[in-house]
Amino acid sequence: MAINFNIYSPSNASTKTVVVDFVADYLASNSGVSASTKYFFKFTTSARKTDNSRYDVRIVEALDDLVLDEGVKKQRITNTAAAYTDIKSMIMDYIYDYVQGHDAGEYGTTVTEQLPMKFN
Amino acid sequence: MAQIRIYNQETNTYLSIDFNLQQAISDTTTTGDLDCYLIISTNVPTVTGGTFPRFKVRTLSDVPTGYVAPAANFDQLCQWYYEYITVESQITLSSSSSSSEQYSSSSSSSSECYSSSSSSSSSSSEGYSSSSSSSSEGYSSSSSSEEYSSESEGNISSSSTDQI
Repeated sequence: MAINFNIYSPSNASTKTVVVDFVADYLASNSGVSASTKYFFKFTTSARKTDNSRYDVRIVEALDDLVLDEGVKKQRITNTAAAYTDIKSMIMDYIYDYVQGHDAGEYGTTVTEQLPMKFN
Repeated sequence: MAQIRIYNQETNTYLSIDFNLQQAISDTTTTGDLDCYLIISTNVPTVTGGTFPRFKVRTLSDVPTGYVAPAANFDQLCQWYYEYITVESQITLSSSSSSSEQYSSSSSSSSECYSSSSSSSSSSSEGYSSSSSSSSEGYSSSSSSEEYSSESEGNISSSSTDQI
């Protein structure tokens, strides 16, 4: 059963939704000689970034899969490299990253620029 | 939701183990914070004919009794629960003699159950995937502990129309 997180923008009076599900699927990166399913969290949304581009589907297999993974491996909210303590904190950090985006170099020079969610 | 289905060839019925992501306001904190967790439930009977409790998983340290916490990832954690439930219930799996890889095409003959796992997402598309069962490291003891008691277990009775 998936969980829907609705994100409301008062200034735009609009709501966007991020869907989080826990699934067991084949991952393309895991196919080949050793075919096996993987259990993981999957984040999807039909919302767009402010440059009108789509969000990639994001996969989380463990609590040390931190949201900022462009070489820095940091939690988005706390700027720490510690693993998430529980499922809730992991999900909230990923949702926060979806909504806010982050600027290039915000937590390190290797962070790739992302854009906030578009509500208008 | 992720689901492992265990097929009994003799009765043409399925048992299942469900891994459900849920959210709720936690009654264990005074902050009223939203909590997110996995509920692992099954209609596999225990060896004595009883029912397994519903397991609530909030962290990778919420492992079945007898396993050493924490699990490395959710893939390993789910395999441990699968292994724990099937060992506790003494279900015989045709693919249980295989390697540590999760997928195994069952070859050995003298058994009664075949297992498959599938997933479904309410939001999008991915389809059916079969696989499963393995014996991996770690299992040792017997009695269960970390149980989540809430509403009574939804007994997912097997549907005889399903086919692998």
